[in-house]
Amino acid sequence: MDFTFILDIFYLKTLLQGLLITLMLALIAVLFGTLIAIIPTYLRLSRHKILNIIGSGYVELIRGTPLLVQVMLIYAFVQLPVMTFLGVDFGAFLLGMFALIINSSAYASETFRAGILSVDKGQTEAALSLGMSKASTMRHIIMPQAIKNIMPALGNEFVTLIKETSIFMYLGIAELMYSAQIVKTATYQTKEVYIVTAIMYLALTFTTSKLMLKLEMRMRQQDAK
Amino acid sequence: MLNKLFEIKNLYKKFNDQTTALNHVNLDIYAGITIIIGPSGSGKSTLLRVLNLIETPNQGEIIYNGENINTKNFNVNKHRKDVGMVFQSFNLFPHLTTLENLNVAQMKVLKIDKMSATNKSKFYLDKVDLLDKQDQYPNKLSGGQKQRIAIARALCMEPKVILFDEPTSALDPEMIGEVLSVMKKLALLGMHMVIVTHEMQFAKTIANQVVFMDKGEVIAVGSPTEIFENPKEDRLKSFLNRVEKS
Repeated sequence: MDFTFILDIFYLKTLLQGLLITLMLALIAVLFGTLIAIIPTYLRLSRHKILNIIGSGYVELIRGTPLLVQVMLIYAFVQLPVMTFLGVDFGAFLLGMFALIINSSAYASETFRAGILSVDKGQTEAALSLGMSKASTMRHIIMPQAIKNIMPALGNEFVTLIKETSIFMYLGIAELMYSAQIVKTATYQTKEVYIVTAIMYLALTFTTSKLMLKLEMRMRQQDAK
Repeated sequence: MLNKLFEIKNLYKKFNDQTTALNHVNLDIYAGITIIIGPSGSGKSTLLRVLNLIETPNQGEIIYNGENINTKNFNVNKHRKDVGMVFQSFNLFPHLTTLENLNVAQMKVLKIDKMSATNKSKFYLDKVDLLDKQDQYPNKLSGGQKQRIAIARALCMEPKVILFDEPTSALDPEMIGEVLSVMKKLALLGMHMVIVTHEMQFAKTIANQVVFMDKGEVIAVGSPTEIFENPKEDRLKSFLNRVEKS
């Protein structure tokens, strides 16, 4: 095995840039995904049957199909017509990002729902019995307790997203997997390049997991006071 | 005769699992202390919980202050400010200190600033003898202390009535006394209370009106003497027999 390509500044730079873009993609996806997730969460916890079905349908549809299929569908449905009729190129990046955010929102919404439902019903009853509104109860009583269950799961979701970004390779976005292709094609060190790529992904996910664990511990400590 | 607090007419409640909790209940709850007794599953907790609409009945009327509260456009939050509640499992907010537990609804519902809320909270904490626990989180408190704080939390909203849902059932025997004595103190101060309890001795000494329920129906209503000393209904008699033996 020959790992000397790492010492080449050009290849190293290509890979590190890929790593950085991977991290950025995952960060943007988890951030906006979490924000958008509020909508399906609200729908799913609603007492209206139709809203409920819409929320559950959204989550089930996205969790039940592969991300790659979602990206390709969005690409096919949006990119080609828009290009043909409006002459605007959204670019693979925006569309891919859009798909990843939608995907992340479905998983985050499931996390939110589970976190909120894990808070004892008595808490809601006590807050309501004091005359607090439903919104106020959610904000001041339920969410501060639910967040302790939500944060660790959201951390896991972030780790998953880091790995999922590899599908952007198909869209020609220079994330880590795409960079690996470039280096592989130039050096012909197929096994070595993929080993290095795997280690780079691992470094990112491992660090994230450790950071999340620390955060979790800190929240537990707060709980124990 | 004293004023009526609640007039309950033909109240019916069926749960999703098809059990009938309240089977066309008619009952007047008067000012003062009303105690609701009955075997478990008799619907007494449900009856209490519909009085502040934590549970919504399927049918029937609950008249409070001349207004039927079981209607769509009724202002529930305003009603709940008037009608406080104390739960079997305390339901203190675990992420807040004692003082914050008492402050939160005052600030969010009554829109009182933090200073005045804290002053009022301390006043009521003192009433339940727990001023020294103001900065503790609930998980550091005993069951009896938690329940006394839950009572203080309800008092902070200055309600007209407080509903007690088996307030001592989750407590160790040695802590029951401290909670009951706080409730007796409240009774002496003239607070109106509706209490679901298994503490018969307490019921005898404190109640103005006793309600006996079984299988979702009100079987007997009367003074403590009428209910405990001269029970007429067979179901009431057998219930009292069973309770006394245990």
